[in-house]
Amino acid sequence: MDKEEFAEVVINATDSLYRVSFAILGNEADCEDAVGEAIATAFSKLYTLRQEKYAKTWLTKILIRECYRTLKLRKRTVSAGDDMDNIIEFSDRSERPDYSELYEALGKLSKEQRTVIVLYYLEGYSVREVAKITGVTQGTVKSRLSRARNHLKYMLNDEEIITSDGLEQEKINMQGRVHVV
Amino acid sequence: MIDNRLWEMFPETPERFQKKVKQSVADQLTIERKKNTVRVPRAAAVTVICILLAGTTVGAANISKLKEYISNWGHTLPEENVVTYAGSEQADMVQGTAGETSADANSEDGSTDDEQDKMSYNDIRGSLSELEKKNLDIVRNNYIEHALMSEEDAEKKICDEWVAEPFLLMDEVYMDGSSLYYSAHLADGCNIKPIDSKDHTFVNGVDCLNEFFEETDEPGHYVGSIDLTMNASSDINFVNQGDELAVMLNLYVDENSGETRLFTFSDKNWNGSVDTKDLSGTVIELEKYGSVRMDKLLVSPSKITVKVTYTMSGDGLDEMLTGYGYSNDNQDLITQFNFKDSNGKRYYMRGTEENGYKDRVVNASSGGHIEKVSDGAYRWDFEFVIEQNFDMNSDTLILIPCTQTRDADGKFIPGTEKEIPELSFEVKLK
Repeated sequence: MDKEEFAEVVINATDSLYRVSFAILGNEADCEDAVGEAIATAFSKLYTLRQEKYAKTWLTKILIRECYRTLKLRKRTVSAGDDMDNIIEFSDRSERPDYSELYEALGKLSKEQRTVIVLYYLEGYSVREVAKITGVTQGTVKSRLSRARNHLKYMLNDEEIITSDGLEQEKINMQGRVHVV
Repeated sequence: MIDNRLWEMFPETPERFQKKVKQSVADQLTIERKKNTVRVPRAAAVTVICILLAGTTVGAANISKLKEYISNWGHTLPEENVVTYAGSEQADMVQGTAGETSADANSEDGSTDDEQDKMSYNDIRGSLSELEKKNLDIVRNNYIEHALMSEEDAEKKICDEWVAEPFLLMDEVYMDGSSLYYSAHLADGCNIKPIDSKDHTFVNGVDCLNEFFEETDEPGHYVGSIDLTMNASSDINFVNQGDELAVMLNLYVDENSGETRLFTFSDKNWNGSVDTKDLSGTVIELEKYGSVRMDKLLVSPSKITVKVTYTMSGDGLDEMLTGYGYSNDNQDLITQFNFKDSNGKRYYMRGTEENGYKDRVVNASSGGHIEKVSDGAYRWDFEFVIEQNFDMNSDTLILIPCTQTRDADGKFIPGTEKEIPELSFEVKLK
């Protein structure tokens, strides 16, 4: 793939790059910095991209690494005890009148969970692709998805996301098919 | 659904960000190159979605590889719970095509193949069972939400690519509350060759997770598994004995173009049994340092799904944790569990190096920090799924938390694992 072709891939992925970076960083200035660095890195390493069809996935992976690097840098500048990796408050709230509980709850997930939630549900990547992007096993991706959904459920107490697994409701009533103990 | 709401609430890409991307790209392109305009994106490879009803008459069903493959995965399934299908049984099961092939249907109403392909979305739905309709509706909704298609375009896409012809025929199906395993073979004369399955797999109107789909060593025969616990609703109670079982897979048929076909299967009188014990809510007192609650404990022949929450307190707890390396900078102290069954056999969550990690019992796990809730009191939770190489007939499960040192990249250093017996406990599985 030549640089011009890759440039087209990058431009077309703008919205996706924003969603992924914003979900991790929650701050538009940091997102701009991270995406700038990621684009520079991607172009410099374009020769390592073996299959053109994975160009966007590859670019997303580079961006996520850059975002994690930004979070680490941010962590060093805050006082001890703060856990900026795990919790972000999405900035510019006053400019977003449609700010929702789910949005806020998403910010309270760990960065790893936010990442898989956005990649899987928002960007529509498969588990396999998410695993490639994030550099973990498919099992870990599944586990993070499950954990993230449960956390969102607990924070929102929202049955629409996931049926509550409270004790009362998890007593399975399968008419003799499941042995409830 | 999460994806619906995420789409609705996520902000639009700010203009500044868009400019940043364009400028960054421009910076990377050399000045000497010829001037380029950003081309209109090439159309994505056409994803051909066809809904193909199983149910054409075929020869006698071959014995599938289901049991053999499952045993290779380390599982042993009760034979009496595996439902086996033969060709004529399958034809009877599928709604509206009992004893008929699609060719027969064409000749009856006089429609040609071309006219068949132009059925409306509602006509297509009308030819399906109730639960197959639910599955199809999720496919449509996923196109709308993930591929950003309008409802009209999503339905048109399905209609334009609808083909009614023989495809895969189920040989065996096993389902418990956690997993659905199946084997199938290509119908005679079918020229479509599945390569893999998309992750989103639909069982009785629930979006579940495909785990595995591959051709066996016998060409044209396939085995697969679906994780029922990873569905978006996390409700395992969506198939009851005696009700319909409907499964819809989205199968890749061309790895270059990404073309897919929809495979739908329906058993109107599902006679497979389920054997899942729900032991969630059990609380076990630790010897010295508090208690453990089994937030989730689902015991199936195929899997043991576990989520534990430790609530720790007691004299000497701080010193005990610190002794194992716990600190503000090392709150991820507990990294995994070792296990024992009721015969005293030991298992390792991720397997052992000397066995090439093939003896692992857990593929998916997740845990957070050990959280200090107050002076001398801590909370920690962890979840995992035991799905292979473990004696599923064991009466009990002993869990022994372990800690392991990581290198600078976060990878575990072999040989540094250390058990924390002070926090181990035993839970009944029956």
